[in-house]
Amino acid sequence: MKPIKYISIGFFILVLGSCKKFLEEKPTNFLSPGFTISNTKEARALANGCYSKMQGLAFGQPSSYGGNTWNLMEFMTGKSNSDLGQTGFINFQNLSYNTTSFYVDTWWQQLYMGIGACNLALQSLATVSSAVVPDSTKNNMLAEAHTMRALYYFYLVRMYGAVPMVTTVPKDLNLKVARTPAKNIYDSIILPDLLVAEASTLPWQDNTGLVSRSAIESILADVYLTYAGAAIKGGDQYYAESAKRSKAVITNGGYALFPNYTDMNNPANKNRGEFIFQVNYSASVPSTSTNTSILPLTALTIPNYSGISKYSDEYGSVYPTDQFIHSFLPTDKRIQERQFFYTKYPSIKTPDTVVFKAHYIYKWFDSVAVRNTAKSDLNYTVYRLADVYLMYAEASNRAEGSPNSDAVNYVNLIRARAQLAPIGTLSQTDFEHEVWLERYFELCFENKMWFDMLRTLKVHNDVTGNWDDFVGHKTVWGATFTNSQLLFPVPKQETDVNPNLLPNNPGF
Amino acid sequence: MRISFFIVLIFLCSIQLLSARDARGQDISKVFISLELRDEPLVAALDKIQKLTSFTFAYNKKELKRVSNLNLAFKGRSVHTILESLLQNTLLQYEQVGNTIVISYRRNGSYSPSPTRSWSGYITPYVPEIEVKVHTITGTVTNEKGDPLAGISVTVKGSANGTTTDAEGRFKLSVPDEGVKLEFSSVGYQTQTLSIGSQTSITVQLKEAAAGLNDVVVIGYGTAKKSDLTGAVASVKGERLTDRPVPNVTQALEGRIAGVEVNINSSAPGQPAKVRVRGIGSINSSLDPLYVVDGVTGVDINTLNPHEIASLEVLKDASSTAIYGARGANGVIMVTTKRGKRGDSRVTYDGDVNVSTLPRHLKTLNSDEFVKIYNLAYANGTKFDPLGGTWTPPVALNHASLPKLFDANDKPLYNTNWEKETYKPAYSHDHFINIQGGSDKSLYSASLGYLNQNGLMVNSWFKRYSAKLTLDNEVNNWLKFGGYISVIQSTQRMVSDGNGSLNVPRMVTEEVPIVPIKYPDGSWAGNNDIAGLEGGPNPVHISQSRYTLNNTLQALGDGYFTIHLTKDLDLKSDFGYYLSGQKNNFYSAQDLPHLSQDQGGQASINSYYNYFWQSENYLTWNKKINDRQKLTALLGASWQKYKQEWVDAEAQNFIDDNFQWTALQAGSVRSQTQSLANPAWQMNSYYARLTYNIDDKYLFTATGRYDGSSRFGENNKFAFFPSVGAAWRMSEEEFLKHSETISYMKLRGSYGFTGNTEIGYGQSLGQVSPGNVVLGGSNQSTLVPNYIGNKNLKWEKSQQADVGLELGLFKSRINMTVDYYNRTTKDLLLQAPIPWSAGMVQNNVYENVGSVRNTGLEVNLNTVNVKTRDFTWSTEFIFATNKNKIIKLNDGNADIFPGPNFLGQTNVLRVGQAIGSFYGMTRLGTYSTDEAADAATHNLKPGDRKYIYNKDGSPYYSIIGHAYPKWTGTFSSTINYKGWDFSFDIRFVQGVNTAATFKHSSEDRQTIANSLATVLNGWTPDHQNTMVSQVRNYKFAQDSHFDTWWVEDGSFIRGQNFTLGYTVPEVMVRKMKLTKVRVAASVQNLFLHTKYTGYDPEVDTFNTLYGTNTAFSQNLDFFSYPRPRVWNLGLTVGF
Repeated sequence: MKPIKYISIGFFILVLGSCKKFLEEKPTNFLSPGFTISNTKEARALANGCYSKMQGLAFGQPSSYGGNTWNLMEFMTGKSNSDLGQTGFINFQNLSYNTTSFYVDTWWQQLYMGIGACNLALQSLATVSSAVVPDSTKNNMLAEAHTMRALYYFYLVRMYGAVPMVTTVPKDLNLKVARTPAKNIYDSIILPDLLVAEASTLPWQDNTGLVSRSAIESILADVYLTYAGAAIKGGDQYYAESAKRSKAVITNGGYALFPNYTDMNNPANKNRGEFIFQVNYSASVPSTSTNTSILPLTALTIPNYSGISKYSDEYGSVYPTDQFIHSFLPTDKRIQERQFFYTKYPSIKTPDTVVFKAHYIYKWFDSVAVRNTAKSDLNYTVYRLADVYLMYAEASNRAEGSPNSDAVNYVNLIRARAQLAPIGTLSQTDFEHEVWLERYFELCFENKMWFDMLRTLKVHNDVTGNWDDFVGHKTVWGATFTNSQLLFPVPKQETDVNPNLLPNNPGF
Repeated sequence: MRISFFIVLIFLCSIQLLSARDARGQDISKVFISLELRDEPLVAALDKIQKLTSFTFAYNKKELKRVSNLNLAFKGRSVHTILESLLQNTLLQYEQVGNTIVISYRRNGSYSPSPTRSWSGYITPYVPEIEVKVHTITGTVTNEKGDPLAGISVTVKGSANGTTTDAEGRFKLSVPDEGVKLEFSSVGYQTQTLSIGSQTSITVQLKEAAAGLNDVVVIGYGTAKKSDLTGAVASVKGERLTDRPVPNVTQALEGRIAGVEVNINSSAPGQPAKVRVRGIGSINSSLDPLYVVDGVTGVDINTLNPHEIASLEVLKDASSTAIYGARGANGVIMVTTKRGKRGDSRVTYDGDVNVSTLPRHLKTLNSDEFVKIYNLAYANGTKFDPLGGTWTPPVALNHASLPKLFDANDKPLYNTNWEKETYKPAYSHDHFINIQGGSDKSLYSASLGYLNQNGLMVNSWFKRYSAKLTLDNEVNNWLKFGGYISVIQSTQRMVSDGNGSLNVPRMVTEEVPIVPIKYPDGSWAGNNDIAGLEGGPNPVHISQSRYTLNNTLQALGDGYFTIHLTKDLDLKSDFGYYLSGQKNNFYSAQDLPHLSQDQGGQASINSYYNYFWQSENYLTWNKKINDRQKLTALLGASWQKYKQEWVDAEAQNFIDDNFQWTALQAGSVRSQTQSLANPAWQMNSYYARLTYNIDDKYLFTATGRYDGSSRFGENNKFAFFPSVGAAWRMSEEEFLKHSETISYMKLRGSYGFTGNTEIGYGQSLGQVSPGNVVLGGSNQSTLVPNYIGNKNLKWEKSQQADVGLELGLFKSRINMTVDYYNRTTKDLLLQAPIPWSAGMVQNNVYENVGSVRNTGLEVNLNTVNVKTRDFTWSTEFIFATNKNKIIKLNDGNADIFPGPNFLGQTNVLRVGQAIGSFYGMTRLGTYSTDEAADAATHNLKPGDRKYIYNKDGSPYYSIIGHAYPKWTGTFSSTINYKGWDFSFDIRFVQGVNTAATFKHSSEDRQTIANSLATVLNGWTPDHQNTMVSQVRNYKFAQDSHFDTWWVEDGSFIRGQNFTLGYTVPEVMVRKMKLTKVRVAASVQNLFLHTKYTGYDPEVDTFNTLYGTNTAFSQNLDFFSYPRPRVWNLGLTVGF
């Protein structure tokens, strides 16, 4: 018995010993932020990460039914209606939104998450040796990351004005970054990032949805136009810089206007033809809890519970006011049935045709999805050639003091597709108004109009046909724009955690 | 509050104390014994008499030495006769004082009877008497302290022959022959059976049963006598847990122990309950107590068969939990399962058969009402949006547009009551068989269980098979080994998934009554058949075509050996394991709109593989220093490792509903493939405990545990958790020892620290995580910053002080335990929000910030109101109150809105307030036509809901309710009459709110779904004084917000359980060759008294699963699985 007792005491002493290794954590389901890139695939994954929050431009709103970040810019214009109370439409219809309203928070979150991914890519890729990733590949990946970061910041400054400037992945918990004026963000991030990207050797067109030279130049054209515009008043010289970029896209990009508007509803045309830069989706890639792979706007724009589609949820989240429709020329092809809008459609259940009470948006009507699969295969467009044409027209007109022939031509190309007569010689102001109006009609419900209003501080009055001043414009809903509409409030959720962001924007 | 005091008062008054204490001793001439002396001294003779009778002798040894050794034999003689005989021819005399016989020198040196003496002290000359019958047995029954027990039933086993003890604990019983067995039983004491042999006089000591103070209770790494504890430990016996039909242990605990709050939040079969010990002590870390099953820590208690349990102890204060250090902060629940017993094999069968019925109803619109409201709602549209909208329904509810649903007169063809079609009476049964036995050296126990539980909701069920084997072996006088293995397999069919979606419970309310379950052609009907409705499938359809089968297989057990190293020192080494595999199969058919129609059918398999092992090694030193001082010491080391692996696969777009999850390859879209293999943690700990006992009066305990966890930052892996406790058993002091009133009194106090580590894996580390993005038509891999990490992450620490008083009055006829505690958790493991500008996918980080305090009072009062031979009546009242307060949050103490973020923010964490505070708007009613101008300032109209607004016109938000009650209590009573027993438990939960969030979708969304009947009370020009807004088509619905109209009074009084049982008399049982037969009929949830308008105020539809920890969804009701009333028949048979 004695030996066993000694053995057991020995065993006990053994278990009293400590073993540091036993308590180590060796994670394999994530990487630590300081990881070393081991191959090109890993580098590519970092670059791809920059695109992951592009879907934030059309992202579902928590706690809402039929709510999507995209709704916000359309609700704000006063030219939209909604079938659903749970989209929070009324708060935007009567301009009573506040720091806790829908979308204001989600936009902020999505954009900064996108910036976080870009910062990680930029700082990780910067350190990779050319033996692992060739410099040329690396530089183009960096160009993609710079472009995406600039794009995310571009949305941020237009929406919220002064915002925290974050350019690295934070290493500690000192996260209460104060706001940097919008102009400084343009000067220290948006413009430098895009100018670096512009110098890359990326192709002029990319049909897989990655950043191309054309995408970079389109964004840059938009940025300069906005920088020169009312919000920043950076200087008239930037109209020329803008026109230079849009011209480059038109000249080198190899894009052409689609002959038919419905070509935009054809999944085969994704990332090509007229489409310069899009948020990519795919019907063949299933959505998961963490990754939306299918464009939500198709179901979102079908009239609420109209019973015309395979979709269980037909939302009718956003549709145009009658006044906006009536502001088009009656002959404009874009308001004809099943061009940009539709007013009736066969029922999915009965032989009848369902006639809607109003015009509904047809821009993301993927008929295969609607009638069969309930899975839209369309992308959401950020920049397309028509936009670039009109940016060129506007910028060159400002830069040169009058419209040049190219500018007039581009406007007429867009009018021709709408089966409208070409414009003749117009004054600088009249031409500008024509361009602005064309932007309203051509780019409606593509989240452009609100930014145009902020950039120009003018609003087209659908009832009077006048160009109202932004401040003081009364919407068809009876609400009046004030200075409070110039910037969205920084969401309360964010100011609660980072009080350095206060005071909030005027009016909030 | 008033109710409880009232009840206490009633039963305090009703206690009838037995008086009649007889000062006289037993008559020595009437106590008969047999005695044989072979050359033995007188001292030995007296000793023998003392052993055989209840008499004690008082004498001076020196005086007795003078008497020469004796050679005598007595058979069936009275003590009187024997004493006379023994003292004959000596100078000694005897005198009886009570039950004590004093032997002394005769004072006058001569022998003469004294007429002045009392009757019991007289001395008579030795007179030979006739032999009395040997089969009269007399005796005394005492408790463990030796105090006589009155009213104990004494029966001859197997016969109706019996008696009860008198006030002195004495009894006298004639028995037919020698060798019978006597059974001693009484409420509050363990029944004892004794073979009498040839004895005619016996003394029996009875041990107190469950509520007794001298019970041995299980504590961390050992056992202790309850009276020796310095900490707050509550104990429940297994029989008590299973006296009503319960499928799992957590449900069985409801209302049993003060300070242990159990919420049965879902009544889906197989769903566990939520258990919280002494309030909510954490925000983002686990709130579940630590479960220790036969020494194995961290077991998922709910998979155990409750019948396996022999006893369950809850360690509540720091003195008792600190031995579990880092995992003890939420209390520790120790479960001891049944093990072998010495003696013949005993087989016990327990069976239950029951039926569940729906006790409450949630009234919805019937067909006529629905049509009326639908048309009215559209008609009202012109008022609410004169400019914009649709004032006629897309489909008129008439024969022309819906010939399948309306007759030629436009009357609805159907009027389906979906509640009735979905919640149907369900039959369940439960069987358990156990064999226990063993020899001197080895003990075994084996059991098998089967549960088949069917839920109220059609097609929901749970089946469980369990088996367990235990073995304990004594190899020799220094080595013992043993162990157990338990295997459990269960399958749960869940049909009520997806809170917030159009799931079964929601569609019971929202499916319109004008559609049938199926059309005459056999096809399913649903809201989808009517354009303009939110087309949810009908609930019966969903329950058949959408389900999750949760399969669980687990093995649990340990192996141990104990070595007796020295007289006082033992070494125990225990290796425990807990393995579990889970495979959850899900399918949702192609024809379910809103659920899986868009996906073309959806199937998934979700599989887990978990393992846990622990090695516990400890030395126990039990040292009796001297008669007055005892010391026990414990020193141990522990190693633990847990690992989980998980895989999830999903497919969509099936060619046929036949395939389902059994052939994922039949789905053309592989939508999900994910795996995770890392959630693992290790712990390495050292622990020690010292207890010191002086005179059984002064008790001290010191405990410490040094815990190391892999889950914390490099520099903070280890932490130390000490505690001290002291108790003073005042009833052992001279001034109380002989008190007639106070039979037991102990004052105790403790203070110490425990911790909480239950956070996810890798939370101290910054994380870059893989993901996907669609580019070029396919998924591409991404790497994005996911989590910022916190290198300084450390332990969450709770400091708890506890003061307790244990009191037994009137020979423990009244027992009371009162505890006050103050538990403050500091360095909270808080998922503190970080700015989104940090760019992380997770916008929060685990930080040690903030602190929460729980203070509370627990009272447990047991009384035996009546106790006679045939009739006993006892009551128990359990009362607990807990006050929770957030002391500090993250920097700046900003409010935190913790979710669940459905229907906006419903809960707030705010300094100075309690966790579980509801946050919302205040609804004043509806705007009347006179208030049109006021309404217009908020863009509203008469008939719209009226809220309180801030000065700037923004809605006023404030704390509008509390999800956790002010106090809870259980009032129980048991009445025994002969073989009959009747008991009941009534549970009180008071001062709490439950949010009927389902009102959002069933009161504010007319025209797209069916509504609650309350919309009939909606605003109309003639009926303006109402909380419910005017009906209107959904498009113009006023945006719903979480408000005071939803947050209702959730207080309730529930008839938890009523049981009537009958135990067949032994004599009949013996004839059947059985050892025990008991039948019982019971009903659970017999009544529910509440103002709450939903099915049940005890609810949490957001968080029904075990292990998910949010404290914030408690009492949020978004269409719950209703709690049934259960009618049960139970049978227990012993072989």
